[in-house]
Amino acid sequence: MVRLKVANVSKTLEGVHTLDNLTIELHDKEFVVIVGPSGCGKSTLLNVIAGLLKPDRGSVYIDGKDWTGLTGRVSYMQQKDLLLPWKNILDNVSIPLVLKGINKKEARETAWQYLQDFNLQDFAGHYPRQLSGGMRQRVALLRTYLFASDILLLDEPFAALDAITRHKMQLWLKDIRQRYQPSILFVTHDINEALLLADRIYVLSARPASIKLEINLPTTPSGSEKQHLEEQILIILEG
Amino acid sequence: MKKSVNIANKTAPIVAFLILLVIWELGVRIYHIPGYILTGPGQVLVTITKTYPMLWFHGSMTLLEAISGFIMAIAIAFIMAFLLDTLFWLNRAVYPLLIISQTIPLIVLAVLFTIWFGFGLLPKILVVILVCFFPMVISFSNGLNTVDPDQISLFRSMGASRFKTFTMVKLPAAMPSFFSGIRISATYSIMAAVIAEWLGSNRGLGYYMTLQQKQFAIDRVLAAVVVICLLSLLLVKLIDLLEYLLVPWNRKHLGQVWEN
Repeated sequence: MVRLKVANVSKTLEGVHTLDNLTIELHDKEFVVIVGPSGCGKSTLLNVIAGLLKPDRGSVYIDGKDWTGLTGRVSYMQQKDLLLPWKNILDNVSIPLVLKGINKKEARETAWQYLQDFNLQDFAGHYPRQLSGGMRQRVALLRTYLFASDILLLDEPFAALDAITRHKMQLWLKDIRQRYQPSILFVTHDINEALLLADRIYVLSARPASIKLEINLPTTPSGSEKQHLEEQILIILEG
Repeated sequence: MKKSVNIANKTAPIVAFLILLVIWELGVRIYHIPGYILTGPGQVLVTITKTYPMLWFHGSMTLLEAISGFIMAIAIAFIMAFLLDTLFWLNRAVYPLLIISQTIPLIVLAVLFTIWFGFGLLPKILVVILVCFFPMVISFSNGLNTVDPDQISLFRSMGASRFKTFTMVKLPAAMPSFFSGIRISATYSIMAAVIAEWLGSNRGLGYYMTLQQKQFAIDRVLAAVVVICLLSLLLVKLIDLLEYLLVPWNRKHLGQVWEN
C-alpha cells in the first residue's frame, strides 16, 4: 500500500533548478533511503513533502489525499536536534502533543510513557544542553515520532554525530523501527548508512536532483552483495 | 586548584577596591587637601552615617523616578520590539528614528521637559524612559531575531500557528538578550533620574548634589555619589535575581549528564 507519493515534483529555489521531475513512493511500514551527493536538494525534497515549500510543478499525496504545500501531516526531523533549550526533555517531547491541542498534563503523561519505551526516562528532568549529541538526537526522534507516528521524514539525523555514536544510533533506529513499524523516508549522503537501514534506496543525481537508480535491497544482503551495491551507488554519485 | 583560582577571582576586585580607597585616604592626608576640594573616603563614610535621613529622603525620590521610568520603559520596549518583529515595514520606518532619538543630547531634553512639564515627577520619568528604552528595544529585537530559522520551520511543519510559534519559540529564545538589555538599562535608569533632577527639581539626589556643591560640601556630594552607586548596583542585582528565576535553563552551574 502506498502511504506517500511524490509525483513529478519540480522546484526552482532562488533561481537554481533544484528538483527535476521527481517521483518517489513510500509504502506502508517501509524504510526508504534517499542517497545523493551533498547539496543535491535532498532537504528541499523533504521540505516539499513536509509542506514547508510549495513545488513549482507536481504534487504530494499522502494516503491518496493531496497534501501539496500543506503542513502538519507527517513528522519531520532534521540534522540539528532543534530541542528547545529552555524546556526539559519531558516538556520537549510533549511539544507535538501540546501543539495538537492535548492539555499539558495529559501530554506529559503520554510523553512519559514513551520516554520509558525509548529508554530515555532518566533524562526527563534535564535540559537539552546537559545531554550528549547522540542522546539529544534520540530525544528529537521521539519528539518526531510523537507528532505523527505513521510517516517519518528523517533528514540526515545522524550526520552531525561522531562515527561510533552514529553507528549506535543506526542500530537503535533499526530496533525502534522493528518495534513500532512506521513508514520512514530517510535522507543521507552516507552509502553505508543507506545499505544498513534501507528496504529500498533511491539514488539521486547532483543538482537538479533526479532519480538515477532505484534499488530493492534483499532482506539479508551478503557481504559481497553489499559491496557490489556500494560500488554501483558510488559510480553514480561520483559521475 | 580550581577552587583557589575561584576565590582569587572573587577577592581580586575587593582587594583592588580597598587599595584604591587606602591610596585616596593617604593622598588626602599626606598632601593636606582641604575639605572643600576633596575629602577622604573615611570622611565620606562619616558623612553618610550622619546625613542618612537626608540621603534617604532624596534617594527614595530618585529611586521612585528611576524604577517607574524603568518599568514603563520595559513595557514600551517590549511592545515596540514585538511590533518591529511582526511588522517589517514598521521596522524600516521606525528604526532610523530610534537611532536619531539617541543622538539628541539628554541635557537639552531634560531642560525642555522641565519647561514643558514643570518640576514634578513626570519630566524625570520621561527622561528615564527615553534613556532606558533604547538599549532594551535593540536587545529585545536582536533576541527575537536570534532564533534558528530551522526551529521555526520545525514548528511550522508541526502545524503551529504564528502566535504559538512566537510564544513557544521566539519569546523564550529572546529572554537572555532581553535580560542583557534590561541590565544595561537598569544602570542607566538611576543616572538618568539624577541628571533630570540636577537640571530642575526640588527633591532627589541630583537636586541634593547641586545644593551641596554650591556650598562646597564635597563630602556630602560624594556621599550622594556612593548612594547612587549603591542604588544602581541594587537594581542590577535585582535584575540578576529575576533572570536567575525566569531563565533557569541558562544557569551556569548546570552539569553534563553522561550516559553509556
